Amino acid sequence: MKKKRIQKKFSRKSMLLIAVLAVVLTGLAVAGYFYQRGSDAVDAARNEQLEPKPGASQSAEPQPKPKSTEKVPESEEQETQEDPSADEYYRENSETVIEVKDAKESKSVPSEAEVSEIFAERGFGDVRITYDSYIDGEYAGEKEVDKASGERHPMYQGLYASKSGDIWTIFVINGEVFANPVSYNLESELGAQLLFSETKELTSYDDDTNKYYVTIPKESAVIVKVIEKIDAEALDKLTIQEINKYEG
Amino acid sequence: MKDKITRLISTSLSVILALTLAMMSTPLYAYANETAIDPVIVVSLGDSYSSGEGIEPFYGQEKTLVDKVTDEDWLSHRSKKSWPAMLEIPGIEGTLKDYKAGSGTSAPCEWYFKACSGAETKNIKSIAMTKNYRKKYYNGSIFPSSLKGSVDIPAQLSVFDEIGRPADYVTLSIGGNDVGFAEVITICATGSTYLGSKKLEKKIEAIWNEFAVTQENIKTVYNEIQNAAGVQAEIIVAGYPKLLDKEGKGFLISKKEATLVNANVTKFNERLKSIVSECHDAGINIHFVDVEEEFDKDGGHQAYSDVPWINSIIFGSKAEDIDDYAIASSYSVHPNELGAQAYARCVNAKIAEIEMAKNSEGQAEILITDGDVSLEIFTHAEESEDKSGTLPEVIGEVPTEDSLSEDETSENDQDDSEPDSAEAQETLEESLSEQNRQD
Repeated sequence: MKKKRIQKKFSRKSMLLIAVLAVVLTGLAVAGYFYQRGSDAVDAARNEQLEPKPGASQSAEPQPKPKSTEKVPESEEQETQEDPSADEYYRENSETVIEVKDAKESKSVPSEAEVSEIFAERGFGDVRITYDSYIDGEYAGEKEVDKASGERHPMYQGLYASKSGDIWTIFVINGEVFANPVSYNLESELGAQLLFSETKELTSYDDDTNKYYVTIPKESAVIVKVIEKIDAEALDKLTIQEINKYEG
Repeated sequence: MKDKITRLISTSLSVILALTLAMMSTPLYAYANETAIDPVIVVSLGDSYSSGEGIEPFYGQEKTLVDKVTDEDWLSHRSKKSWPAMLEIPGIEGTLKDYKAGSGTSAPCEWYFKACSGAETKNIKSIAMTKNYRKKYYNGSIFPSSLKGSVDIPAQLSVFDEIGRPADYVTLSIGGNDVGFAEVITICATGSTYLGSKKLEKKIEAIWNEFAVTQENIKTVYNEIQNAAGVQAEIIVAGYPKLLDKEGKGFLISKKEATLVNANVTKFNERLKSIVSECHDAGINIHFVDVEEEFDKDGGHQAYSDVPWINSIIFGSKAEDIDDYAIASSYSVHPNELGAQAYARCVNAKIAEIEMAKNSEGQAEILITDGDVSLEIFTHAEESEDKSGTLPEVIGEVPTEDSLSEDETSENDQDDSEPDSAEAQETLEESLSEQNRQD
């Protein structure tokens, strides 16, 4: 009789044990499955399929040979014609070459501080002024002026946006001021670039020879409009429509 | 009755236990392949030519000004019509635009778009890009007020910390801002040949003098992308198109100047191709996509051409420029919508080529067709230097009795007295054995 009772108790306990075990294991298995889903095992299996097999070519495509040799010559590839010398260029494009002078010898070349003053007193105080040549002609790259510097440069320039939104480039070359109406020239149907000057002569700078060329250009090369003073007030009035009407 | 219920419960629980133990022993990746979604991960990095500068709408454009200027997508000018947004991954429906990460939905693909207008190599690797915004707004006055500030866009490779798993594809264009060709073009428009201000040759020469540093930076970027994305990632580097119409633009940009600029873009692309090739030979899964030919079609689609795919120089600002006070719009000299489509065509072709090459590697297929010819066996080509995909080799062919002509029948009879199907079966078994040996 006692034995039977014990056996009954044992089977209930074992049932309970099995039930608990089954629930716990099921829960672990489900949790483990979702964890493993994003695990390294999945990624490792994926990577194993995707890694190139040892000994196989690394290339997944036929590599086109570059057109040029590996060591590209620095200056030979540029498809440009031989440039004329400055003498030849200005002789060909000017009505008159008035003067040619050495930039380094000129007493009229302003310093960085002086050109900042020139810009400021003409209403271009907020313009970022840059230069790209040293006084001996060596190329400097585009550099912004230091308003306190006494260093001189053959040519300066800056971009000015007028009140009407038109863009102008202001040049200071050997102390002379010129202006390029960029927005106007962008839309222009004229055959040559139009420039504003305070005189009918233009001063150009050639960095190869480090010389200034003072010329009266041919109209086929540059159309010159003479204005009393190149300042912000004047340029603000010179909209594209006004330039078209300008007689100067 | 009680005993019966007890036995039933006991049996049920035992079955559950057994099933659980069986499930735990099954290889998990098999279940992963059958039931889980493992999205294709695509990451698009790079500069403005990848972000889609100039092609509205940008992500975040619909926001108010105050929200816009803190939106990374808008500040980076990431366009919904950029070429990365138009890419197609074989087997995935739609384009990448449909799978931009952050949508919160489960999808077969996740696209992380981190290209940023103005980015240089340093902004890919390690240095955040600072975006300075200056926006005009009218607050009930006729005079505009200004909203100014700056936001740092994290270094682009930091996206892989967010993703947390290897990528399948990484696309990018980079290096153009490091060398600064766009500035050269602005000089063409704002300078004066007669006054002597342009100095184009010297500026370009200065770019090449510095190129060794840029080259190393580009190479480092490719290596670091692979380190971050994983060795399996296919890295696609897109080049740049020639920028100017070959005839120039009147006196503004002479033909000679246009030729000079374009020749140097081509030279730059050659250098990029060479760097990619070098990295590829060193074991990186990297590919170069040349877009010049596409942009050169039909007489050319450069800026100032008859049908331009590249914007001309735009002075003044556009409404969505981040700096309303800049002299020129950031949209200048960037591919327009047609240009982005051209880029997408080229890169999609490359992706298709890559996927095709993957599918042709080391797999055997047995194709049984009903009909006149009932059994064909193919093996794919052995891995070789030329992965152009050779034609499959037919090993055995078994015609049905109906398809056999009298001649064929008599021929077969001469060769073997056994039925053809048995011969075919032997051939099939032999070829399978051979294939297994090869594997």
